[in-house]
Amino acid sequence: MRGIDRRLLQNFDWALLGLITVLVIMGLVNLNSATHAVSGLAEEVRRQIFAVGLGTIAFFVIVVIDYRHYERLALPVFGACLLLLAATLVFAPVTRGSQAWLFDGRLQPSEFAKVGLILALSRYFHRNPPGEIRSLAQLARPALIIALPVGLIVLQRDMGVALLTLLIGSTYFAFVRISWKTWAGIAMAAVMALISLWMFVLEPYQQRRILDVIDPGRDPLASGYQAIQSRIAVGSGGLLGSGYLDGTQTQLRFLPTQHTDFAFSVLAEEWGFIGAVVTLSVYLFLLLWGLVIARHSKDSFGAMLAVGIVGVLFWPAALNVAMVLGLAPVIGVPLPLFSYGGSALVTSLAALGFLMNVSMRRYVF
Amino acid sequence: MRSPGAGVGARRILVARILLILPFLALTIRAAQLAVDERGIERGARQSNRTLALAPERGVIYDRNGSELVLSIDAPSIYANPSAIRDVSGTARQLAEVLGRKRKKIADRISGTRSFAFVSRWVSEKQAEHIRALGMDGIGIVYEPRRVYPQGELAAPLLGFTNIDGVGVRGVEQQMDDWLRGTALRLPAERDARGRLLIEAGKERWSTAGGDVALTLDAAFQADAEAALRSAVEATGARGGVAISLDPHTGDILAMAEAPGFDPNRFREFDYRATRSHGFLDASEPGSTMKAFLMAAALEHGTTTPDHRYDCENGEFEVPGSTIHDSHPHGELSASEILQVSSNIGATKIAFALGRRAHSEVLERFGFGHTTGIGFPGESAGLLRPWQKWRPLDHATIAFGQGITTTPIQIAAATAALANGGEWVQPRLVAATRVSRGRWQPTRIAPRRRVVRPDVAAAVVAMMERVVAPGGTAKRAALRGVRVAGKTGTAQKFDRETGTYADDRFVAWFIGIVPADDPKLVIVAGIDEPRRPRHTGGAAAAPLFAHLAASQLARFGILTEPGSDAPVFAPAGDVPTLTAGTATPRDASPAVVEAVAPIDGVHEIDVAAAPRSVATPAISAASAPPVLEAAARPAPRPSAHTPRRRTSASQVAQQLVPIGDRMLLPDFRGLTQSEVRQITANTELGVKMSGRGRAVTQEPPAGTIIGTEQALVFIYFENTSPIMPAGEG
Repeated sequence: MRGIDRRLLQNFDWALLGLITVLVIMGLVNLNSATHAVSGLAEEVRRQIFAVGLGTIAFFVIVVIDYRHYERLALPVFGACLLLLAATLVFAPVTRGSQAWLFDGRLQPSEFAKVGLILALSRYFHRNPPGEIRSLAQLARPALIIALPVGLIVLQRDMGVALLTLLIGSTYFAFVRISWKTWAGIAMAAVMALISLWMFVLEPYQQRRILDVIDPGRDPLASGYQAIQSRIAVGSGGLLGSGYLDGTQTQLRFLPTQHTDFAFSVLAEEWGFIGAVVTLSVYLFLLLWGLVIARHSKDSFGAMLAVGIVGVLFWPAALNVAMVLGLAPVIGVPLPLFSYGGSALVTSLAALGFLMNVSMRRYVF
Repeated sequence: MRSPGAGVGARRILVARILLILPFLALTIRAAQLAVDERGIERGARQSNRTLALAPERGVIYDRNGSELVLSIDAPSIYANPSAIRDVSGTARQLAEVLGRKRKKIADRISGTRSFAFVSRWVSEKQAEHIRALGMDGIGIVYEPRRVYPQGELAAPLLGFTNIDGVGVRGVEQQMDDWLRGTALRLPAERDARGRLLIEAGKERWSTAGGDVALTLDAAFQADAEAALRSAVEATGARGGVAISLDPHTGDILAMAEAPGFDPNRFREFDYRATRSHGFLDASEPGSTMKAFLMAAALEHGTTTPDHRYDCENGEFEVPGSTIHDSHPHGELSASEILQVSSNIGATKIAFALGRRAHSEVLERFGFGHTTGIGFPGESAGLLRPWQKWRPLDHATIAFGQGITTTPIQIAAATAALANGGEWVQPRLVAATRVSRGRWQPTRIAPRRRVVRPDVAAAVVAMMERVVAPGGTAKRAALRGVRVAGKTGTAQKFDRETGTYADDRFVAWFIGIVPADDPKLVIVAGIDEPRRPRHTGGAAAAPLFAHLAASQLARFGILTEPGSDAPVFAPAGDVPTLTAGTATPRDASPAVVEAVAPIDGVHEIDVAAAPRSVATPAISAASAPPVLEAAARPAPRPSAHTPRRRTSASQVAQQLVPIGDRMLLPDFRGLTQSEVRQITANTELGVKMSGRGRAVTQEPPAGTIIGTEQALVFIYFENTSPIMPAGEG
């Protein structure tokens, strides 16, 4: 195990840290507004600051240890995540229709499972470089690795996170060199899977949510409510926004779950289109930077890890903003680094810790 | 140095970049689309910005002298936020204790997940204070406007009441609802998703308060009339009754007593029907009082003269379809005598001579068959069938008041037309209105309508005087020293079940004009179902009239009491000069001693508008009502401005009779300390006296209605000022 030496410090990725810091601070500032009307400095803000602290510690702890050691830890961590997910099924109470929280709502194992999944997949693709995979059959094992946590999360009836985890795992397939015929097969299978998912797994309310994306006016007071309110909020922000703490939709609590899943609509209302574009740009830069890190990683495990982290951040971010803007169904996907939620924030920062780790050690042999 | 693409090729990374950028591009475009879409902005604004209509404070209803009859207070109501209550049973127990209500009921109200529920509305200030002190979680106090009627039952059917939403649903409260309610203040307010209102702080909330209303009622008259009516109803074992006192020149309703009454403070405990005004809403057969109006019609058309004689057929007269009876058989009677003894046969003959059409037209001009038009809610028009449909029997019965129905206020207005020289004046109930804190504006007086010639009216009044004289049906309506004109009526009640007139159920009527030679008041007294033998108008209603006339004329300085032919009671010499501006010499009536109004500012009354009503405490139509100006002042009227008069101790003692648990304060001025001590000795009235000589001022002033409990009057005595102007007495 290597300590922190001077080279490491010299190669510290300040750009990455800067981007992360900007997003975290924007998230906190936005959270303050989202919870403002309820009370002064809301309980949520204090808890989120505490989570930032925890996440920062996790970030640096992960940074300190050379990521190559994680390759050995990958499977045990993955196993532990699966165990936690299983434990959730046994011990966790059902809250708001799903069964995802442990320890009295303080821990959401499905969040950590993303990181475990990435470690496991990175390890797999490190040993079986995606560029060499040419047949569908070769994807059976990574598919199984993905299916295990996704299946457990489906059993928790947390469809949003299950889908998210599935998408994060699938990120790797973008780097697999397979023929278009194979892709067609995958697409067919996906369509079949989606249809059976719709017919046999999804609850009626979840079906309604998906239909609401197509036509949110269908049922404006019930399932379409959140989608409509969110669009109204974003729309009322206009180009320049209504001003910080001055969003009427936000401050008057027309927005549902505005501090968690709809944090971005708060931002869009109060900071307008400009604020939304700036925020999206910071995300994009962060993700592109993640790809740069993958590109320059000194080994394939690091590259795979970086790709996975990009996926971990990209999918929820894209889905969340799409949901807020009425382009995706209302699935409970928080905006990474932005939405209120300790587990998610700590997980995101930890994941970014891996990215930083890979970035710092790009020249280290 | 670097290890390019260890596992991830540059091309793959490029693809990945594009895959990353594209969705973000899509999201950006979508955000732009939403931001530019103006509908979004509008909808956002409409959703949160509501116009909030704030009900302003409801106006006050005063009597003509500025006494508050109805006002609004903010009554505390207890509400709960059930979702914030942790210990429901404990909270319910504490609330039940303070509010004196069942614990279980309260527990039901305050449990659940709602965020608002009333626990108890309109609780007492003491209870609210108690609950505030307990400081329970999720329990709050909100102040809601509530109408209160400080005078209790006084004039309740006239005043009416508002329902729990503050909407007038009876009486003046309904009639003047729009005015009293005022214009709701529309405030832009923001409403959050839970419906809570956020109003910008610092805005004037009650800037469009409801306007005030001053009635023509005189609270003192009203209290007196109500007490007298109640005791008359009691004495005759009747079901109820009505007594109206009207100024014949202005139409002002000075008092309208109705029994049984109700306490509008507890209107919710009464059947809605029981809260109606009998005076305006109940049309019934007026009985022989109609003969006075028949006589006016016949004189107007010249088909009779007071001395024209008729054969009254010894009590039995056949008309097509039936036989008319007189209660006492008569031979030949003059028209005057027909009215005096109330002969049905004589009236029938006069009516037949007059003819249906002329009879009907004059009755209509007297206001029968139509509402008075003052807009009192639910007012009845009575029933006067078209004359074309009158068969001879119908015409005969209408002549003596059967087959026609009238409301008491219609009779009062018609009698006033006789009293004021033949003009029908629309009765007034609302004397003046003012916007909140504004100036009083008198109510417009409707144009008068000539009903009969002045000489006809005077002749009928003269004939009506004989009713009260010996040999008439209403000897008990006579007053000492004051000429009274009147007419009795005893209407059999129509029994709907048997379809015939009941011979044991009557309405006893008396209509009176006092003084007959200079009418100041028209008084209508009606007693519903008095028991035999006091079931007739002369036996049941006339004494009530006499009592009311005596006590109310005292307010005009005419001192009298029920009884006939006695010498004039009032000392004629005790007359200070007339108040300024009205020093028009009038007919020297021995009874009229002084135009004392119990109010200041009498001198401002417009003589031209009401030439003969100078003595009335009236709100003149033409001039701003000074009386009502006084209403705006918090302090009681300065008694020193009022001309002093001397009242005998026994007269004052008579007025010192408590009315239920209230009492009308008499005017003590002019009395000595020992006289005051003597007459108040056996009453519940406490007296504090200071000074020497004769009483000059008192606090509260005369005419104030006070509760007999803790009733206390301060009287100040002075030696220096002469009671009577020099040279007199």
